[in-house]
Amino acid sequence: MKGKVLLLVSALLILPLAIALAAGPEVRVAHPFIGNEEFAPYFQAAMSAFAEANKAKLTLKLEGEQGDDLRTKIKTDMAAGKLADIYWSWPGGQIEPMVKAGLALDVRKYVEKSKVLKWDQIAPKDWSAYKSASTDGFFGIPMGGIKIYLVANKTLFAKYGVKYPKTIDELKAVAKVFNANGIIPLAVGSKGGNTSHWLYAHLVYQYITETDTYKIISKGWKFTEPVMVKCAQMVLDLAQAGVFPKDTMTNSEYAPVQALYNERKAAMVYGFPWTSGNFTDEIAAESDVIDFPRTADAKFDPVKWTIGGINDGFSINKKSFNDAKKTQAIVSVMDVIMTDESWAAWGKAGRSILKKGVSLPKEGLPPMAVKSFDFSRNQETRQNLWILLPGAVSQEAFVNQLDALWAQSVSADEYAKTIQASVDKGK
Amino acid sequence: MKKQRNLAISATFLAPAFILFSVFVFAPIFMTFSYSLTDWDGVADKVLMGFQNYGTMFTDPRYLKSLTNTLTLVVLSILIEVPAGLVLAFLLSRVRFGYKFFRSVYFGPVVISSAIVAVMFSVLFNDDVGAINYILRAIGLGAIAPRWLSDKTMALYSVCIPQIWQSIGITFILFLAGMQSIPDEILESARIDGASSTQVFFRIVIPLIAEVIQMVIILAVTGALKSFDFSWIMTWGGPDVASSFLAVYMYRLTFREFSFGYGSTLAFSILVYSFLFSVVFKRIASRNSQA
Repeated sequence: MKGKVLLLVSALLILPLAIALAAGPEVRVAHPFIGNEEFAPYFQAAMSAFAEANKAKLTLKLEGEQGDDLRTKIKTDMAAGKLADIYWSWPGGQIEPMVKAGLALDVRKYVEKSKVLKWDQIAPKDWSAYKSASTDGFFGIPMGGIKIYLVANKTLFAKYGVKYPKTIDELKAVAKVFNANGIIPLAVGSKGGNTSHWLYAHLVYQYITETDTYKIISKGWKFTEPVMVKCAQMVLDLAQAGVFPKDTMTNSEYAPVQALYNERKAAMVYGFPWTSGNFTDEIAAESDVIDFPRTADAKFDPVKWTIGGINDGFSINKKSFNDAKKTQAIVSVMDVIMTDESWAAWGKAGRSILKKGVSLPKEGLPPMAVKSFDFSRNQETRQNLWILLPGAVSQEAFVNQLDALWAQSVSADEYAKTIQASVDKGK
Repeated sequence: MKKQRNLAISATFLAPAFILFSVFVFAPIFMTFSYSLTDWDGVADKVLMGFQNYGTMFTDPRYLKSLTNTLTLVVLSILIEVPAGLVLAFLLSRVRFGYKFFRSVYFGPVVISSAIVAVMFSVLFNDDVGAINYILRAIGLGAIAPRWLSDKTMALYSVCIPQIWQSIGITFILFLAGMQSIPDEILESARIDGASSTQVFFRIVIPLIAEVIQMVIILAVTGALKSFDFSWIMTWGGPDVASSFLAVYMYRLTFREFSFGYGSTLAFSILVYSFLFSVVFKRIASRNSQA
């Protein structure tokens, strides 16, 4: 009797282990494709189909969070020693700690094994976004290529008898008219640096090239450069002229400013690939994509470029990839994401960077995405400044100071000095 | 022998609670303290710093601002939340009509998620499309309509208001329960002796619910010390740290700047403040009640 009980207990203990071993390795994917994210339906369906078809070989675990929550999750997982095998990542200062800690794979190793992705199918400029400043290699697959665009409601402009502003002075003049009629001229507020950091970059790059900006910020660790202070002062002038919402805290992030625009409470707003689908059809029909206004002494006219480039992509956990039991499983999961079909769905979700050989069908695209693609086809991109900052501490200081700048609670000098102090800490 | 057996039985019954407490309370506290002595970004190896983070903390202007903000919330909670709950409970304990209705109304905010309350107040305070400034403008007071959440001098009070508004419900219900435990005979005899409502309130009710008042003050203060939701949801503690409390600054350091070491120092400091306040306040209160 005792022997039988012992046998039963042993079987109960061993069974789950045996099942786990038989099911093959577990592959965890930390990703942002949930909820109303445009790529979520395709991603979820493709992953589910793959997991079902390969359930004997591996266990796929999808861990979805959006935006800053995903960033927090990834870092917390990492601190707990449980970083996902495949994870969404941001280049520059965000990926660098993973590279230094040996948790980011040089993705050339994955590409060598991939059956669906070849190195030359992604442009060298896009690959370079994931080049590390400290270690030789490319530590992510650039997918989140974007071009941001400025949208104006032509009906509101016509109603109040004003023209689209081509210069900053014209923007201030237009703001006066809209303010008098209870309309927010340009719905750009700042909470956690959203969506303000795009506009600040739009000012900075009118005076300095992308290469020089990289040299100053990422290599030279210098944020107190006159151009940074000058553009901060411009933001203060624009805020004082009533260009932005009065409540820069609440009317700040992507969803609230979009809602203000859709409700015709704001005359202009930034559009992003991930918000293109949030413009209602009616609003899209009465909207035009316009150039960002030029500063009086601009060296580089924003007609020719916009803020964008590589914003994010997928990285692979180097430790997991080097685990022989997991390597093939990780390659198979990555290959599901890298198929031509997946890239086409990615393009349909509004992203402007595509794998070579994949064409973007216009059918099914949100109307604002079509308008923005047509408008910005020939525009170059300039990398957002946030990504160029060296590490999380200075990136946080940057977005916090933008909040303070938009709220007019800090001077342009203080703004630059505070960010500089954080950049110095990260040296 | 019997003594030993009793000890074993006691240990057996205490063990589950002790183990749970050790795993979920003592171990995290110990780990937080150990992290607080390091420089750690959550990725690279921890670098032992001794008590350097504690020294940095008291020279960090953002920490000092968050501490001042937290103390402001503590003071506002004691000055508004506790008296308001006390007065509402006393008034309601004396009414016969509409008792259940008003009890539900006053307690209502407590059962709403603080995230919802925060979003609700964000909408009300919205300077561009919110109801409060709309009304102020409509009645000709547009000139004094503040930028509730964007003005650095106003943002702190704007995030305190919903927290205090919501917490009044819980202090109210605790005081009401305390007042209901006062024997009717005492209140009846006071009335027969001709005591006014004010006299009943100050001479009978308050002394008899002194223990409840102490508990409510401790809850209000410790609640304020760990306050997070409203500040984070409404302003992320901003602009910069204008409306940041200690817990918000700790979160920003730990989970946004990934300064796990320094963030743990802040977390531990919050624990120390709460513990010290509870012990000192309890000791003073019990000494007063003995006197």
